[in-house]
Amino acid sequence: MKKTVPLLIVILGGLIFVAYAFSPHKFLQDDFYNKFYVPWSYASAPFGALLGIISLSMMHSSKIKRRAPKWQFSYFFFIGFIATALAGLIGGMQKGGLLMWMFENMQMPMSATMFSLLAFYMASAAYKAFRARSLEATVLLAAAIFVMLAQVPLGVKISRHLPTISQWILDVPNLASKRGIALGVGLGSVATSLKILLGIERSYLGGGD
Amino acid sequence: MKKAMLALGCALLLTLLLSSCDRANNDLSHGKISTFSAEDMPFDDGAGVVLKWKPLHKSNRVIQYNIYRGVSPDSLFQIGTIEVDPKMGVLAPELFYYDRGDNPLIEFESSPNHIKKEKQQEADSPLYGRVPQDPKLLSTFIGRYNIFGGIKNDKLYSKAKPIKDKDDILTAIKMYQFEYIFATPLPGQEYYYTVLGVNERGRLLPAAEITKVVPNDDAPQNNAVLFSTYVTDKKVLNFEWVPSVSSQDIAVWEGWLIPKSMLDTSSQALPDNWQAAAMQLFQVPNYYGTGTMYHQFNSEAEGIALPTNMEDFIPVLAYGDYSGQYAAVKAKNFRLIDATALPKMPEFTVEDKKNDKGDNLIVSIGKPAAFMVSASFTNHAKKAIKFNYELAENENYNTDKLKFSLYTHEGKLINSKEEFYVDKNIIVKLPKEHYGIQNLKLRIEIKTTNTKTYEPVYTEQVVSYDPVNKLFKGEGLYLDGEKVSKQYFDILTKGKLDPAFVFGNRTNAITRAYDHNIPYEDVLFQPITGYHAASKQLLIEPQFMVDADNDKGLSFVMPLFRDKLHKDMADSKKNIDELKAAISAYPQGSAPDSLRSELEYAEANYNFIVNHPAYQQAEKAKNAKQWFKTLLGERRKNQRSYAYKLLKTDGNGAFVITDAYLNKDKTEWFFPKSEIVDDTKLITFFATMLFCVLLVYAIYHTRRREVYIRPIAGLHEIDNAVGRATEMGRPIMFVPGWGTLGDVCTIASMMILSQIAKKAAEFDIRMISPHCDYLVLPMAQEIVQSAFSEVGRSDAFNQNDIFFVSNDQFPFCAGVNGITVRERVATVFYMGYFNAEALLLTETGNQAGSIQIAATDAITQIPFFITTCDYTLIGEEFYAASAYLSRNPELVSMLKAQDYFKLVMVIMMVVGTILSTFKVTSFINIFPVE
Repeated sequence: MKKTVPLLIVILGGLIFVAYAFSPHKFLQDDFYNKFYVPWSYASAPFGALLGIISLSMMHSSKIKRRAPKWQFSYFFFIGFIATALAGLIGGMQKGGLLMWMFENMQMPMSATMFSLLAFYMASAAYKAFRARSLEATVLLAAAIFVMLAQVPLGVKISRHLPTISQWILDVPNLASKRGIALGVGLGSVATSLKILLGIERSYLGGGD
Repeated sequence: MKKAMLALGCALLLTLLLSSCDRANNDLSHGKISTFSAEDMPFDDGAGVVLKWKPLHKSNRVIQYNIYRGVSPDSLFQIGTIEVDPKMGVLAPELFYYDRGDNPLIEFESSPNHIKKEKQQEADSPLYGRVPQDPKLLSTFIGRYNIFGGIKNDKLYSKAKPIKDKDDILTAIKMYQFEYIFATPLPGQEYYYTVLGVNERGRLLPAAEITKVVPNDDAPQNNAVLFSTYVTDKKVLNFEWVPSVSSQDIAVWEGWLIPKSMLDTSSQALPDNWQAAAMQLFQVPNYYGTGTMYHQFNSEAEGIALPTNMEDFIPVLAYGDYSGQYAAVKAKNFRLIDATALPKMPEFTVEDKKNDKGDNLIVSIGKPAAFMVSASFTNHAKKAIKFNYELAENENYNTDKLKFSLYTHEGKLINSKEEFYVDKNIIVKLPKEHYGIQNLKLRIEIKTTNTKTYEPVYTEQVVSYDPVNKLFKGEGLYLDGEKVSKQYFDILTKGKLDPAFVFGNRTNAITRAYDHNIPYEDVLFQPITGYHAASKQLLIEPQFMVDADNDKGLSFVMPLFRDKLHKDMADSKKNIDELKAAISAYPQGSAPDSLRSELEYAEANYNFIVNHPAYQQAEKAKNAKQWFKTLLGERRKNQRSYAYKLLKTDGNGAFVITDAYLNKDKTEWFFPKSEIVDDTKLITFFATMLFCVLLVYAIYHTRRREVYIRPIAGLHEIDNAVGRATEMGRPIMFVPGWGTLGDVCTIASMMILSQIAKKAAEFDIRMISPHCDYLVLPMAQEIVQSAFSEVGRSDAFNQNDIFFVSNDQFPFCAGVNGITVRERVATVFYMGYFNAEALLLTETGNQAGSIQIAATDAITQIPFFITTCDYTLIGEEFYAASAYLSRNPELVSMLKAQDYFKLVMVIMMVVGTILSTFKVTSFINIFPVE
């Protein structure tokens, strides 16, 4: 019973969405999806956010209690959480307010910093990928050189055929492999959905396959 | 205690910070708008006011201006805002706000419940915030504004209640049932306005001086633009005009003809007494939309003889508003033409749009047409030209193939090529003598399916080369010999309850299909006429037209309640009896005609209602609900039934209009139907069914004998990776990626999590799983807990190890990186959907010396995972993981079914490729293109 009821709910929900995908009827597109499903999913989202906050608070309070390594950092979570919440609740969310000031001058620069690290990591990853250790890696290196050079004016100066070669690499071998992967991914998604819909896969319910 | 003190300290610090940011300003005049005016909106119906003020200097750091309005100077409510940039300020010298009551006065979602004075204003300030959701207060506005509310149709039908008032039945509804309530100013009523700035700290600056304004109903603006033609052989005078901006306030349009000699000799302007020698041709009510309008005056049909010397006359368009004020313009362009100069009208059809939810009808015009968008030489030798083209199609014809023919300007054929698959580009080789040609003519012919030859109607374009941009440009597009850029279609529509055909759906002449959207009834706008204090409800008078006979001017209008309709019918009957009595009081035959016609109309309308089939059926209903449903069904059917005409014009008054298109039953009405099955998805449905059949076969096959699964290194290595963590005494980490519960890859990652959690429990190592989606989190916690229980290690499960980090990309990434480094994680599993954070995560794991196994279906991130992780599951391997790890025969059979299906797909692709190579495209056209 503990598994049957959730399984039935999943199968029923899945079948409704299969019908939603294949039928353009007003009952499914408007009455079910727009008027029933979307408002309910909006209504349930804040409860999900609450779950997230509780989880994060429990994790950090437990770290402080256990004096886990670097437990002092957990205080920053609570300070940041309370400060942001109060700034929003008291000061409002308007432009120029404290919350927006914190967002623009603290969170955005920190996110930008993280993102900028990507450039260095990319260079490091490129170095690892393009080392000509084997025939395949050498082909990869050559393709990368063609494509990268074609993106900059220097490439055209070297040879006016470079952009054409680069485009051919992108349009033919690259696109073929991308489509191969996409086809496999699509089939895998359909198979996973069918597994759940037909009740073959139950591990997401917990407790066995 | 310590913690409580710390929290209190933080809160105090923050309060101090906030209050310091919002310190009081003692200078009450600072930030006050000095030049503010409120004026009547010109040329309107008296419902508009223009506010104008000089914006505050940018040093005031204003983020928005609040606008206030009231019917007396002692209470003004906020009615709108204008947002501005606090850093830049407003660069324009003046700011304008046009109040026509377009902004909701009250909104269900955002308006306050109680009346509230505006902050930071003087004690006796008359300024209040938004109008609260208070029906009693709203009732005081009735009569001073035109008040109406928007309400969802189902709420109106189910929540409105009848209230008996003496011998009448009123319709009442609670205020909160409305989505929004509007209040538009009334002409002749006094209104008071002011405006104030709000700075970036949320502080309201002092308000401008309160200004009084009385809006007036003005005469329409005489800036309509009239084009006219007289078709000499048909004796038809065409009027085509672009109305003035105040067209909403126009009640009638009139067409006149005046001698040119009446015009002012020097300025050619219309004199004040232009009607003195004018001939009126028509007068039509303004039923139309806001776009270009047309009227065709057929002198023979109307029985009005036009002058023979029409070249000495000029048409005039006069238009009057609802208060009888007029404006007139003479034709900007008047031509005498014959019927051969009129545009050629193609055939057109009307059909219900396929595969929709029943809210569209399709008007299909003519046959498909293709035209070039751009073209360029394919190489430096200029031996071939690549044409990019577009295809205008409709539901009636399927394009089989196209033929591109290049001609010289002299008309000599250069080369031609057929296009069998419409991919919107084609390369045409040039003969040696035409290498590098700069100017040519392109002809595109189309062959539709079910015909053997190319259609006689084709497009031609003059194409010339632009050496600067290295592109060919089409300079003129001709369809069937007519220049498309100087032709327009206008689709005329008429609802069954509407009095006339409506214009306004104007489109260019290459258009082959017009999608007429007919939305389902949703929000209804109802005038609010009063307030019922006893029940605290607003009073409305909903009247819905069920059917109409526009030829006779009869209408069947229903209220919401059965008793109310019976009462209205009884009143009509009583009115008829009274009229009869009044007529009979006169001597035989001497009753006034007005009285007779009034009786005639009242009787006809009464009979129209009582003899209406829907009325008779509704009267048989056993209860009020069934009664209402019957009449509402009839109303919806009529309200959503449309008739169509097609108009084609040259934009200068030469136009032709078709008759209304008739359906198979020879009536002009079309009704959109909601389809149950989307037939474009049938092929997908059959493919899914085939997949299910293959699955059944695979299950049968797998149960009988063990099947081979290709070894997947990444999954094979999971045991070793977990074992390594055990040996090192360090935790493992599972990162489920960026997907939500709606993504299949997240579900697949949860299935793998279950398997990995079991291994972690068996090996007795700590498992950490950070999450960025709070809806995935509880599911992951439950899965890991069940996995631990299953191997008998419930005690080892720690819920706090499966936790939420952040739902922002980079904070989540920073959090996970921090955990990787601090906890010295031995093994990391990245399984799910990833974006830019993928490389940041895996590089950090790499530097921390963790074994990393990644799996994703995000194609863009696969290269990064391959480069930085020890093992990577690519695409479908990710989805196969749960079957691979569990070895459950049913799950393994799914893998086999996938393989079988893949084989089917490969066969299809090979067959499609071969057939397409031999120019047979019907096979590949079966498959939908997304």
